[in-house]
Parts: sequence; structure tokens; C-alpha cells
Amino acid sequence: MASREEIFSKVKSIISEKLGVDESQVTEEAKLIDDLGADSLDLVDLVMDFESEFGVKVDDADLEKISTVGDIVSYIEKKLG
Amino acid sequence: MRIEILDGHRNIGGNKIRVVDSENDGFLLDFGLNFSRWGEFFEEFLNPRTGKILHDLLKLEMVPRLNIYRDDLFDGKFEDPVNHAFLFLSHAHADHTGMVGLIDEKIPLLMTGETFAVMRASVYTSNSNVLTQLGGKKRRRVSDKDLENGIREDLTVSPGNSKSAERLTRRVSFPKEVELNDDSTVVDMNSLWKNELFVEPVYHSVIGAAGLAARVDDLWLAYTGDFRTGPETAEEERYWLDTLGEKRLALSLRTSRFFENLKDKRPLVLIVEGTRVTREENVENTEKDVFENAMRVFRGTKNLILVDFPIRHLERLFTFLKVCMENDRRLVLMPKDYAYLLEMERVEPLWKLTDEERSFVRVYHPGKVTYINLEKDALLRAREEGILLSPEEINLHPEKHTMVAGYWDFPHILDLDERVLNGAVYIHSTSEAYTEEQEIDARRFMNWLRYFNIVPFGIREVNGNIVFTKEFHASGHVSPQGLEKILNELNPDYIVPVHTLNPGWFVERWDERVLLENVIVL
Repeated sequence: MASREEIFSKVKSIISEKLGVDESQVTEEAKLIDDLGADSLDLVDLVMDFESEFGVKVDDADLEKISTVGDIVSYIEKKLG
Repeated sequence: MRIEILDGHRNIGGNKIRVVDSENDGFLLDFGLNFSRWGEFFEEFLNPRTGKILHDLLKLEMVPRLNIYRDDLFDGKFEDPVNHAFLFLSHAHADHTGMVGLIDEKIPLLMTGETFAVMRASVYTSNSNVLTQLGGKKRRRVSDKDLENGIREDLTVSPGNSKSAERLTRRVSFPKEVELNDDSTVVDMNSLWKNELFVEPVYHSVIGAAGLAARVDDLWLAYTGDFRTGPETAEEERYWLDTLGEKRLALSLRTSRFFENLKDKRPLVLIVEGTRVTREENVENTEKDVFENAMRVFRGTKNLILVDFPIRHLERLFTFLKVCMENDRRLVLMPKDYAYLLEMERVEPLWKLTDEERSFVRVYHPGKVTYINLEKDALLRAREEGILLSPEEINLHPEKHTMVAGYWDFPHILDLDERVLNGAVYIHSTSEAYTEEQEIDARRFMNWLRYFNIVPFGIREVNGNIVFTKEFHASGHVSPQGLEKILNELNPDYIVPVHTLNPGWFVERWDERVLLENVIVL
């Protein structure tokens, strides 16, 4: 099973590439919309990338609870666990 | 029995197979265009000469040297004593039917009514092409006048508008009754072959796909064509039931019925496709996944959405129609696609849209001067039905519309406002590029998206390379796991893999039962 650090590293790389932001900006505390400039379609795209990368299914209802990068990492960690 | 794999053996597509019994009676299984071989010599503007088309294709070894060709295209004879009873067309994809136009019209074409409908819709909404010609007029020898005009005497010429031209009247045969609306002649399927024969639909990414089984000498021979399995989980089956309804769920169960019918046929030789046994895939997408991912995108934007999928992939049409209905958008088809839908509805009432579904369908009025045959009929019908939509209406309410538009339709989006296109969404919901030409097309297509700032899904550019992601596409081919399960359950006596780059996958599992030669004698 991937460690939290490994998950974060992959999540950071995907977000950086998808949103065109520097990896240093992608901290666990960073908010996807307010800090990293994602819009609703970016979020959809990111979720599909995470699903593909980690082989997990993100429930649409859970999506509303995800605000920060750390939320994503925790969610994936829980799903993989 | 002799099985001759004439093409489509160690490549994906171009299937041409012949089966011959001990009395030299035989039949053909598919007569497709081998795109990779074709691409070695030809491209869009470099083609075989229509006036010598068979001469050219024979010389380049793109078609087999058999006595199966139209006499208006070729008058040569080969030393081949086989009497051809019929040509079975498994499904209406060009790599299986793309050269059927060359076949002698006296050889009956056996297929499902749906396959015939899709082929007709394809032929009669495109410019005429001898390779796919189903009806119309035969070509003719050069006349004295042609000679005077400098045309060489060994060519054939188009009959033009000549009323004396000989008709190309096809003989067609179906496993169940079909109401024809062209001048083909229907032949009873029971009269085609001297022994038992059946055709059973399978589930694939084009409506009407089917497999065939026939008794040949003392053996049963079955040919799968291309297929995938239906819902494999209760959850997926529930999706079909809820989204498409009970009757259409039957579509997805066709493959299992085909194999069910083969269980008591022994000894059995199975000619089976193996498209996906080489692919390394960690994701097995289903139509339910396509629906759910599309729902996410639709909910995430109020802008215009463009969706790219072939309309003959009927469950994909239903998927996106349902997504539109859930999001109060109208699904806008090109006239050509509406023609496909009308043809399919005509042949199989099961596919008819309900009144509610139909109320969400619109037809785009493109800036075209020339419409071809069925395309024109569809356009006029849409106008009569009051569902023809101008670009202005889309400009006024982009959030209410989803256009079905692919690469070839994109010039028509130039009639839409730049403000509407800016931030619009494009969803690639079809297969990836397989050939070099398709990759070039995809690269060119990305220019369109970039230019208008259209947000792509299902396709992206990474470091100059085009990457096709899989969120909006479920393969039409059976997965390696699904295929292994089917073959283990069916347990055929002989397995002949075709349409695959990895015949070794079969040998690893079923060893001496796998026959790999181009000519197999049993």
C-alpha cells in the first residue's frame, strides 16, 4: 500500500501539471479553488485523473467535502486502506 | 474442411476468411479493408484507379485471387474451383465490410438487418465509392466515343446518367425478416448453405454485430466477428435497466446468447477475435462509467458541450441522450447522424426513441450546399418535424445544447459565436488513433480546440504527444479476462485466433488446440 507521502507526491504532480502551477504551491493546506485557481471543470478532470492513477472511485457526494489538497490525499489514503 | 485466413490474421482488421468443404462449396467471412496495408500504399488523395480498381488491388496483393468479383470491375478468372455460397458480414465496421463493393453481386450477402441498415446509412450519406457500393449502376466498358476521347480500352467507366446502364442488384439474406426499401433481392437464409447455419447477434460497439455458426462436413465452425461481453456485475446491469430500459438491456446480453447456442455444437472450430489480448490495461471501463463521467462534466459547466462518438454506436447515443435529459440539454445531431438513427429505427423498432427521448433530439442545420441521398432526406424530415436548429439558436442558449460533432464536422462550428466556443467543452468518446494518419488528424484537431479555447476531455496533449484517456470510452472488444472465461466455458475443440497481434496469448492457454496457419485443413 502506498504511504501518505507517496500519495501526496503523485497528487502534487498531477495537480501541478493539470492546473499549470508550480509544485511548491501544491501544499497539503492549499485550497484547490481559492489558492490554486481550479474551476469546476478542472475539479472534474482532476478527479478522473486521481481515479485512473490510484484505481479508486471517488463518489460524487464525497467530492463536495474535498476542499484542500490534503483532503484529497486523506480521501485516497482511506480508499486505498 | 479448409479454413483460409486470407487477411486479418496477425493484424487488427481487414478480415477476409474463406471456409471450404470437401465438395469445394464454401463461404466467406467478412471482406474488410486492411487499413495498415492500405496505408502503406494509399492515402486520402492517392487511391487505386477506379477504372482498374481490381487490377490495382490484386497487383498490390490487397485482395485475394479468387473468383468472387463483380464482372463489371474484373473479367479475369483464377484457377479456383470453389463455389461461393455467401459472404457473411459480421458487422458494419470498415475493417470488416470496407471492400464489399467489389464482390460479385450474385454472391448473397448474409448479415443482420441492422448491419444492412448501418451500411446503407454509411453508403448513402457519403460520396459514391466502388469499394463500398451496395447498389446503383454497374460500371461499363469503354465505348467508341470514349476511345475517341482518348480513354484507354482496358478501363471501365462510370455509366453516368445513362438509362440503359445495368443495375447492380445485390442479393441479401437475413436471419430474420427485414423490410427492405431498396432494390436488393432477398434470399432465404435457409437456402444459402447445404447444412445447418445460424447467425446470432453479438454485442459490439456497432449495432447489428453478429456471429455465425455453420456445419461444414462433420464439424461445426463458428466465427465471432468482433464482440464484447455485456454487464458483468449486478451494478452494471442495474445501470442498463435504469438508464436504457429492459428491452435495450437485451442488446448487451447478445454475446452470451451467441456462445450459449454453441455449447452443444461438437466438434467445434471457433474462429475468434483477440483484439485486446496484447493491451496492458489497468482500467476496464463500462458504459456505466462513461455515463457517470459524462454526468460530472455536464454538471460542471454551463457552456456549450461538443461530444464526439460514432452514432452507429447506439448505446453511446443512448448514454449521452440520457445525460442530456438529466441536465436539461438537447442533443444536437448532424443530418448525417440523424439519417443513421432513422435507418436503425426503421429496421429494429426496439431502438426507436420514446416520445420523451425524441423531444430531446435536435438536428443541426449546417452550412452545406450539397447533401447526399439519405442525409438530405433526414434534413428535410427534421425540418418537417420542427427540430432543425440554426447556429443562432445554439448561440442564444449554449447551456441548453450538446452537439454531436467530431473531427470532420468541426468546420461547421465556425458558424457559432467565438464567445460560445470560448470555454466550451469537447468530450472525446470514441476509440483512440491507431494509424499514423489518425495521429496526424488528432494533432490537427487539437489546433481547433486550442484556437477556440475549447476544453478537451478524453484527449489531451502531453509534451507534444496526443494522449487518449479512457474515461469516456468503453472498448467494443472483449477483455482478455472475459475472453479466457468464455473460451474455458465453451471449450472448443479447435481455436483459430484472428484480428490479433498476439496469437501467442492463445497458445499459452490452450496450446495444441490453437491453429495458427494461414490455411488450416481439418
